[in-house]
Amino acid sequence: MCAKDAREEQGLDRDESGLTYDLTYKDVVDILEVIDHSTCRELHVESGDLKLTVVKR
Amino acid sequence: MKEVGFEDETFRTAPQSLWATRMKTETMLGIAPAMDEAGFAKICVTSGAAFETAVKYLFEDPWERLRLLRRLMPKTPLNFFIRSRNLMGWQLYPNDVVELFLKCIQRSGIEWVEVFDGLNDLSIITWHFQVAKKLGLRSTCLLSYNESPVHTDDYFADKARELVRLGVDVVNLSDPCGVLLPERLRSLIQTVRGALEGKAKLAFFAHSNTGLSDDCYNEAMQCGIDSLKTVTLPLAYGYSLPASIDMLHRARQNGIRVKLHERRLMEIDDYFYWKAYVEKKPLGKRVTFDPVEYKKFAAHQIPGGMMSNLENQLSELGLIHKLPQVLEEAAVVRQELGYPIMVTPFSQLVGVQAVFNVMEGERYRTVPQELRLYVRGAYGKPAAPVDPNVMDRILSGGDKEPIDPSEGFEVPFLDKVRAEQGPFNSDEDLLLSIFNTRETMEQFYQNKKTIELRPLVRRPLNALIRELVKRRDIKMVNIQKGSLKIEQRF
Repeated sequence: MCAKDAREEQGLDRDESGLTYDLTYKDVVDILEVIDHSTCRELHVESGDLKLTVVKR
Repeated sequence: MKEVGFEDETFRTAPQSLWATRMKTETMLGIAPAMDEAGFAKICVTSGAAFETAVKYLFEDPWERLRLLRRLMPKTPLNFFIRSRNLMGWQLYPNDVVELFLKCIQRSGIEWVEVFDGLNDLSIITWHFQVAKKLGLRSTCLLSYNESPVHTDDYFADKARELVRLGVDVVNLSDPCGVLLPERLRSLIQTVRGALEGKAKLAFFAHSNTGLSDDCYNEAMQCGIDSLKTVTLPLAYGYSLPASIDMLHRARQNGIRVKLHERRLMEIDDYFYWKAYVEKKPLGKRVTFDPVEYKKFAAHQIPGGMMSNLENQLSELGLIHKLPQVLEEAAVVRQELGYPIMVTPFSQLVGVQAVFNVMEGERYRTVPQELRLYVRGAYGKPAAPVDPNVMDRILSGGDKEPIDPSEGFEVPFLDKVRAEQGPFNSDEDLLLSIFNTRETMEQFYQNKKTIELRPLVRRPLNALIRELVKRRDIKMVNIQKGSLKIEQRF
């Protein structure tokens, strides 16, 4: 049995490598919640290759 | 290798359990193509409650919703969840209405109907299965579990044998109140499977409100259940069901084959995290099993939505301190009424009566008309007889004659509606007019929204930027991602 068949037999046949886009909507929600709940005037957020700086009034 | 199928309930029970049934058609359509590719054995797309909410509160045509979902999900069989003869609303409808309803949902692209009766009284819903068979629809009957001395394995086995005689394709053991213990489930599955003699498939689902559902699903998989119902992760747990992705992992740990695409499930989960955020809807939260709380809950089984209403009403009356007494009383009323499953409308009958009994300091002094009808048999036959002393009390001074709910089932209803309210543009419009008041339908037609088929464009970075520029308390944003650099001052 080849490796692919063995994975299929175990129910591991499909798309195991995770999401194809690196910044997810869940990341966006997490970032927005951090910003909204923070009392800091200036925030730096890094997620994967995303670097975000936000300055509040 | 054993295999378990998964039926998705993200569009039906998840919003009903967590979002007051307010999931918009547009939200469903945005992810429907991914759902169709996810490998679900079936997708339950709607119910009478969702139809009602679409018309009354969302001003969306529920028939159009079905047709569009069918267009975007051509591969996966779609299922419609039907509550007894109520179909939509509260009234018990006769045979001709049930038949037309099934014809219309089939025309809209539905292949499966899943029917339940809150008392597990199959005589009320036999007609549904007969019509489904005639039309070529496949059918599931839900048997609801209840923690009581009369809901024994033999009780469920007898029901299962009756369903085999009726020719249903699937018997679905359900635990709407989340009270089933894993060890009890094992014996239940073995007994019911034996009763089915391989003539119908066996499915299972349990709500997660007591924290038992994960272990029950695990047990069900080990017992060789054919199918489980699950939902997307952000709308899972609490009063909803377990998450598809978590149960996929459990199945793998058990060496059970599953035809689900994990990446698709992750995409679907990600989409609903975003939708919940932008629509300000709550996420499901896991509940940890607490044996002490479980014991209290299993006695009364007041469902979550009703519990929050009860707490609000008692608070407004300055009587919140009476809540423990009301819950204790609800446990007694439930027993006296023959252990109805604590789902609509029976949970309301029990809960409201418990409140009256406690507030008035005298049991059954005030009795709503619906409860009088219930004890006379108008809703069907409960699993245990109503306590005779309580029945005397409830019916004192009024009509005591038993009611046979099937008496009016064969009386034609549609011709009368056509003559009095017609003509209608379509059978679908006729049915909406039967299920809703004239006023509701006028408001619906005045406010009806156009549903647009817009393909989902997955651009989380754009969504982040759009959200940031909406915030008035931000004066500067600097974003770097790969070669992209944006700085915006406000």
